[in-house]
Amino acid sequence: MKRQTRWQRFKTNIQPRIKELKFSLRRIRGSPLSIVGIAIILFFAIIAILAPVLAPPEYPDKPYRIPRDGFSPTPRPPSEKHQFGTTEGQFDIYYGVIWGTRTAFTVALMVVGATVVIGIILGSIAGYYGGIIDEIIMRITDIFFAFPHLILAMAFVTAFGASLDSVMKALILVWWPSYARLIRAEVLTVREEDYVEAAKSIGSSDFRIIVKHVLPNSIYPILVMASLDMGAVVLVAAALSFLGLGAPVGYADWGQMASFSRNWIVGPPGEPLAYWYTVVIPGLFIFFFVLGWNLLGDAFRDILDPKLRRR
Amino acid sequence: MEMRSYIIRRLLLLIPVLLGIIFLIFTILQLFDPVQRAALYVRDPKQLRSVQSIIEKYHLNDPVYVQFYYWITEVLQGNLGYSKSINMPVADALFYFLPATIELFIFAVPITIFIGIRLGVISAVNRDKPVDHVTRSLAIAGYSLPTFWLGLMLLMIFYGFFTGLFPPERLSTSVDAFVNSTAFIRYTRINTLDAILNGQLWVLMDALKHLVLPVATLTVVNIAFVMRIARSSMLEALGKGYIMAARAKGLDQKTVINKHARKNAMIPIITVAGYLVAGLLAGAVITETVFNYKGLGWWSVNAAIQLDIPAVLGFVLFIGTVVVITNLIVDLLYAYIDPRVRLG
Amino acid sequence: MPKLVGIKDLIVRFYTYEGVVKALEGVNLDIEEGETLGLVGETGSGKSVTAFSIMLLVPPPGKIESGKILFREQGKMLNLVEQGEEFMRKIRGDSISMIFQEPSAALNPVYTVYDQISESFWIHRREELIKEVLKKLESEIEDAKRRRQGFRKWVLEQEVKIYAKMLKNPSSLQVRACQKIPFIKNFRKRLESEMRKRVVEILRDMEIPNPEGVADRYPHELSGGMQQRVVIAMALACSPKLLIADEPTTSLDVTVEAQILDLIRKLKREYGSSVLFITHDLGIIAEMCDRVGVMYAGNIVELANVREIFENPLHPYTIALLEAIPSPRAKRLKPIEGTIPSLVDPPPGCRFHPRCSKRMDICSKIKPELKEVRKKHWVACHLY
Repeated sequence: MKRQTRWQRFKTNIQPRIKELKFSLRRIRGSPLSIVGIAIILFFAIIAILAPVLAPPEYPDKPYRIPRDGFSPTPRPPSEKHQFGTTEGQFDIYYGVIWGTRTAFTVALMVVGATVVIGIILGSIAGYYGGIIDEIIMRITDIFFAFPHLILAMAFVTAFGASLDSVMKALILVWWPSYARLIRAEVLTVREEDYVEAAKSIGSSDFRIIVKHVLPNSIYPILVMASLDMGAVVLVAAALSFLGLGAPVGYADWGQMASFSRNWIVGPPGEPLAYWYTVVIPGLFIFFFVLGWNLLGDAFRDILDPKLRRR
Repeated sequence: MEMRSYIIRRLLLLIPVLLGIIFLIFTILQLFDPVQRAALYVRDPKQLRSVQSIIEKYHLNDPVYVQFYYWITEVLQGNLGYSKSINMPVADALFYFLPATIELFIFAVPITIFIGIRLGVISAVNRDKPVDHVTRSLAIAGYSLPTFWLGLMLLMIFYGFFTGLFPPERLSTSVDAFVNSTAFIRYTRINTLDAILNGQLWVLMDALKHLVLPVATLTVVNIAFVMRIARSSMLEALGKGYIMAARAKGLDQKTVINKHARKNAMIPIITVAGYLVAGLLAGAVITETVFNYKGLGWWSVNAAIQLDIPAVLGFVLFIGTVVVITNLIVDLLYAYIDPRVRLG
Repeated sequence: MPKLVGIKDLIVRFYTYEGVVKALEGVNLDIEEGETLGLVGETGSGKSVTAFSIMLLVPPPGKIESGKILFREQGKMLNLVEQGEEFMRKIRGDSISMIFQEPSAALNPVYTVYDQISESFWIHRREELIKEVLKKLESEIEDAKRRRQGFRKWVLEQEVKIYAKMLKNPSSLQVRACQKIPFIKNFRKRLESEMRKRVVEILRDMEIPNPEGVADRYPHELSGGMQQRVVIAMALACSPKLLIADEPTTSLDVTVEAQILDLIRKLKREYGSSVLFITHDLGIIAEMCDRVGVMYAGNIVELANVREIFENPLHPYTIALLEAIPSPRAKRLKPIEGTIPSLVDPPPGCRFHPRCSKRMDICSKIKPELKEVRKKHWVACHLY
């Protein structure tokens, strides 16, 4: 038999995975909603990346500080100078939502990223080793599951002091149990498979087994959950900022900007919708951002569901 | 007899979980310094003046396990501290604000479940037809809406644009004055219920008017959740063999769906009732704040902003307990309804 | 024997994501009254699809493209394909019934045995049952008159009224309302006791011990064999003319299988039904059937008496099937070469030709028709 180079061997091994990937991509292309989702996310990603270009910061070392055009409390409608108008305190809405996109991505990626990592570590340990470690970790997740995300996060944020950092820390603390549970379940399924037995019998270390066999097979549900959570995290973070427990006044955060609008829901008599832009615009950004991730996550779920894959 | 042992086991499981919740809250409590923590141990604000004595009495500077002992004895006696943001002991505040939130739930829960299941079933039965796509799209959109944004928009339109149609808060000022006067007996402090019991229909109308928007806000976001579960559950039931067997017996499609598929589909839906309650509670916090609707959610946010620690922690503990008990009820209900579980 | 069922040139296709599956390509089959016709073939040969087609229950994305399904109903041969859904609903469960491969799947787990069997009675024998009840009510009214029990007489007369309404229009608002109101809804008890009698009777017919108790059990509380008996009970409840048995014993233990087969044989005699017995097991065919049809890839390739088939198999596929039966004398197994063709893109001409050891040129071009080659022995093969 001819000796194959490592590269050739790698290519052969990866063939079936590529085939599955191609099939998945074909399914994605066939589902219009998932394309819409991807488009939306790309749109926001571009805004986030191009933020300094689209909305040059007034304070270069503090780009998240929204520039103020005066101190008058009354919001002013969209104009040449302020494309989306200004909100209470004369903060420029356009600037706020552009840089708010960056904030949203930062918060979402940090929280989801951290929780996935923590979840993988704890979930793999719990699922793979079982026994008392599993029991302990599972009981702890049980306790966390007794609380809605928002409410438990509120408690943590109050303890840490209201700020965006506190929000992120609190959300990580609140969100990790879902992933630990998910990964543990996957590990439990895979653990019983024959190829794991085979790997063990040839002396692979536990770590190697987890990384090489268990994780690649559990990646799909993680993908689905992570996509959906990108949106869910932003919703909770925005809510916390809206309630006054997150980003400080004047910070470019969608929730924080929406909180300004509370006093301006009803305009002067005869012009009740006068200040619509303070309410509608920040909220619209949140809505579409979350919608994009929800569409993507949903599409992933449909695509990766083995029962539905080949109808 | 399987059932009985299951019930007992489930109830016993309740205790460690509740202890766990209390412990988690306690852990969060430790993030504050002793002076701040003192407020959790007293029900009378005057005692707060001698903070040092409180710190000594409850050993707030001692090791964690000692503190836990003292704190949990207080908690189990119903002492959750004093809420400075509304000048009431926390336990009292819980009872004070509870009826308002319950009132919201009385309307929100049935509507969410009813509409959610209906939509889910319609979607499943008409799988991949236009109705299905429209419903699912609406569901995803609803799911993506920030609760506070929906509330604000609804207020803007139905209170601002249609001036005063559906106002925020619980009651109009004049009605509120009446309700607090001696002419009106407050049985439950749930306005709609009390109005009926007092025979004062105009109070009922006013209360309902104020409830429309908050209830709408709460339900829209959560309907999507119920609908998705109902749909997948129904789809699964429809794919089962007994559906074909029923049709082979000569049953018409409508009866097949309503009699055979439905009953099986409803069973898994119960299991998500726990998540639904959690979602509604979180939604209530935001909704009550947006509408200035003075219920538990409103109180908790108000307290959080003012760093009223006993209130926040007491609230969170209460919510945790509610969710745990709800899950317990759900588990027992599920065991009862599914004959496969009930009869082993 | 007069014909009960006549299937002519039946074409059924499934429109799936991966292409159009040509499941049945011109099936011709007759079932005579009182006979047991076996339908044998591998998985995917179209046996089940044929069965479902007879009841017009082909699940979507399947569609009956063309062909006739003639059934003798009330003296006439009707083409079922042309009949409406309402007509078919009367036929299903009444004139034609079906039993399935997985009994646990065919039974609804949240309803008792009684619920599910009585459903058949309720759909198809409602008038009969209500008339029984009314007769009993009449005699009780007479009795009440004699004993001058005025109140009792009045109550009974009310019940008569409700049942009369139910007879005419069971889904009317009045009747449905009466079934919900606390005390009034007790009137149903009479009807239920009638239905219960029949359910217990048929359970007993199925040789189920303790039929009273079993009636109140849920499906998961019964063993596989018992479940299948319940399914058979459901199917035979209204004494159908045709019973379609789709691999009813495949998922059962061998001993249970023997019992069920015995039961089916006995019931067939008792109820006088014809049976269409679908299976892949030639042994069962030999035991149970009068005639046999061999199916391959959506066509009937051979059709004859059981003895004929076993003694004189004509079609190469049938011959290969018989040879493939493991025998203690043979030194090695003789499988059939090749695999079942894709039904999306089937081979042209005779669908078996790629695997046929006796294939000729013409076999890949023209599809052979079913011809009567010997007395009452049809084959679809160019060899004849």
